[in-house]
Amino acid sequence: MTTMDGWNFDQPTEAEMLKALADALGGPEYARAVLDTVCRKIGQSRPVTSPGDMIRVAEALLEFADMLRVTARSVKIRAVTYRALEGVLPPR
Amino acid sequence: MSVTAVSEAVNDPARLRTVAAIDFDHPGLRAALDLISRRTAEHTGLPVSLATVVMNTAQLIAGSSGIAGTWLAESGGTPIEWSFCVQTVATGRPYVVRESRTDPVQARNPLSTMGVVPSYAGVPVFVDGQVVGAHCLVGGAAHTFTDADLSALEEGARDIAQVLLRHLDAG
Repeated sequence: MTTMDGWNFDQPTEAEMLKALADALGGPEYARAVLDTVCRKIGQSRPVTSPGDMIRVAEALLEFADMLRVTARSVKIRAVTYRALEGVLPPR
Repeated sequence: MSVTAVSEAVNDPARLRTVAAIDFDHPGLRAALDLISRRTAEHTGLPVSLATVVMNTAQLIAGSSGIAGTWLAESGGTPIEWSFCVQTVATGRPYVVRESRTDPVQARNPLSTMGVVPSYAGVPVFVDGQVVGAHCLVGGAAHTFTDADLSALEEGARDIAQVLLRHLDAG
C-alpha cells in the first residue's frame, strides 16, 4: 500500500473495493460475485492493483449497475402489468 | 421489419447503454415529460400522449398525459411485445397506425384487440445518437393523423431529448 507524502491518502486496493461492495450489497459473497463478473467481462486480471485498472473496473461496475436497473425495471413492468390485468380480466 | 430485426435493434448494446445511463427515476424528469406530453395532447386534441423509453423487455412510460387511473398508469409501461413504440425505435422513423384492429402488424396486439390503442402515431427520441424511445399520440378511435400532428410530435420529441440529456449519467 502506497501513501502519498503529505496527503495521507492510501492507494485504493481491491480489498478496499470488495469491502465497500460487501457493505453496499449485504455480504462478501455478493461483492465477490459482482467483481468476478465485471472483471471477467472487461478482461481485467486479479487482483486489481493500479489506479488505472481500478478506474476501468469502477466504470464497468457503473455500467453493470445501470443495466441491472434497466432489466429490473423491465421485469417489474411486466409483473405489474400482469397483476393489474389479472384484477380486471382473469387469465384464460 | 421482421421480429428478429426489431429485437436486434432494440437490444443493440450501444443503445441499451444509453438507455441505462438515463436517470429515469428522477421525479424532475417525469414532471418535465408529463408537461411535454400534455402540451402535445392539447395541441393535437387527441386524448393520450406518451413519452416512452424502450428497454430490453418492456417499455417504460416516462411521461404521460391522459392515462391517469388506468392500468397503464399503474404498470408504468407495457411488455415490449405489445409496444407500438418499439417499431419507431427499431427504424428510427415515425410509425403511424390509422386503425390498429385492421393493421397487418398490430391487429393481433392485445392493446389493439382490447381497444387500448385504437390508433397510434409515434416519432423517435434520439439521445447521444441512439433512439432511446418515442413520443407518441394515441387516438380514442381510428384516426387519420395529419402533418400537423406529426409536427407536434417532432417538436415534443426534440424537447423530450433535451430533458433526457439533462438526466444522462455523465459516467
